[in-house]
Amino acid sequence: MKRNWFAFAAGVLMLTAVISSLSAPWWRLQVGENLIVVDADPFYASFSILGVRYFIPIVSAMNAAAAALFVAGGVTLIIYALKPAKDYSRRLLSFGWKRPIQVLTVFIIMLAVMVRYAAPAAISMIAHGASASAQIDVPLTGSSMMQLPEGILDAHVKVAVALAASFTHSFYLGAAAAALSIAARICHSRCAGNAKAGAA
Amino acid sequence: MGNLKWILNAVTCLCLLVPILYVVVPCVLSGSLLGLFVPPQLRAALADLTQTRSLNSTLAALGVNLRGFEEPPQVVSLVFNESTGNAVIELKITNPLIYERITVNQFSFTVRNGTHSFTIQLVEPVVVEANWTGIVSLSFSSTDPEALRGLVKILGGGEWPDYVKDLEICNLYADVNGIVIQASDLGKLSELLDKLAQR
Repeated sequence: MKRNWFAFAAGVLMLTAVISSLSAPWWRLQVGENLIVVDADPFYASFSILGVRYFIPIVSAMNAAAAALFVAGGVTLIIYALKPAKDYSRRLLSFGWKRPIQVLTVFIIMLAVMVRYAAPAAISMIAHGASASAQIDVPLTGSSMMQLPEGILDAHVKVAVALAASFTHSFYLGAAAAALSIAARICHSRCAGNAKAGAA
Repeated sequence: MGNLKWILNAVTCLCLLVPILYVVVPCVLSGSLLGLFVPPQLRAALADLTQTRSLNSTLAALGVNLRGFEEPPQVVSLVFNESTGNAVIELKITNPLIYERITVNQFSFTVRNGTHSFTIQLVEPVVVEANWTGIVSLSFSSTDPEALRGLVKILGGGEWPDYVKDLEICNLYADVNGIVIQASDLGKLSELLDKLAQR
């Protein structure tokens, strides 16, 4: 087996996804017109309120850990891809190919939990004390209007806030890296099997 | 091969532990685990508020200029443009948001007197840039330009006819920075103006 180009592409995409996250988060939620912006990203998560960006320290630490592992996985995949037949190559592949799948899976689960439970709970806390409950429906993609309780300002006044959410190209880079890493693993299994059959 | 396994395991441990310990250890040593979850800017703002008791600087760190709330919008002029049939109001405004602009995308309401009513709406969106103080011009059109002219004359300090006390404001719709405010009935125009004058 000369080269595993799936692994090479996966490695390059993994490094690109980390760099891309610096400019565009994997998922963004805008409340109003940038009044509140939530950037959900495995490598660079933050939120901003009224234009001031905030980072939660423990989340930033986990982001840094995920980014370091992703970069290490990408580098090992690239090294493996150039020398797939060496004795140590299988170890490198084993280290690298799981990273994008792990990061993507954890990210999607955390995002689903945040959208389904955490964001509505946070909004309910902010709207605490109002007589009626708010209709909170945070979209995963697309836009919606969040109706706040009628008692939040005054009687007979309805307040609604526009919500808009979307996945960005950084997310699709990460998903493509995961798909290519799976392809790289399958390619290695098939090529290694062919090599053994040829030797026999 | 065995060495490589240990090297990769060591890389994994370093990647995981170094960033987390970098954040956790100082918080544990200082005895404040809240520092793990509270953004540093908020902690600094709260500490600043506690030490200096200056609400201005604390709010400024959070992107809010208190002066923008202390100085409500002041009407500079209100005129009716005969050629366009629109009312133009100039307001002196201070944007209380330091880093975000305020955009009034839509603003409309209905003036009603018994069975007769007419709607007034903002002609085009108005933008007030971040941390800006100055005069902004808002242009309103109406489904009944003649009634709008009369209203401008009344609000401009002209003599109030008897029917003015029966004028009601309803169907308010405002979209400011994606926040939509709707009110079906705001009560009588005269009472509303009295409340605004008291503020």
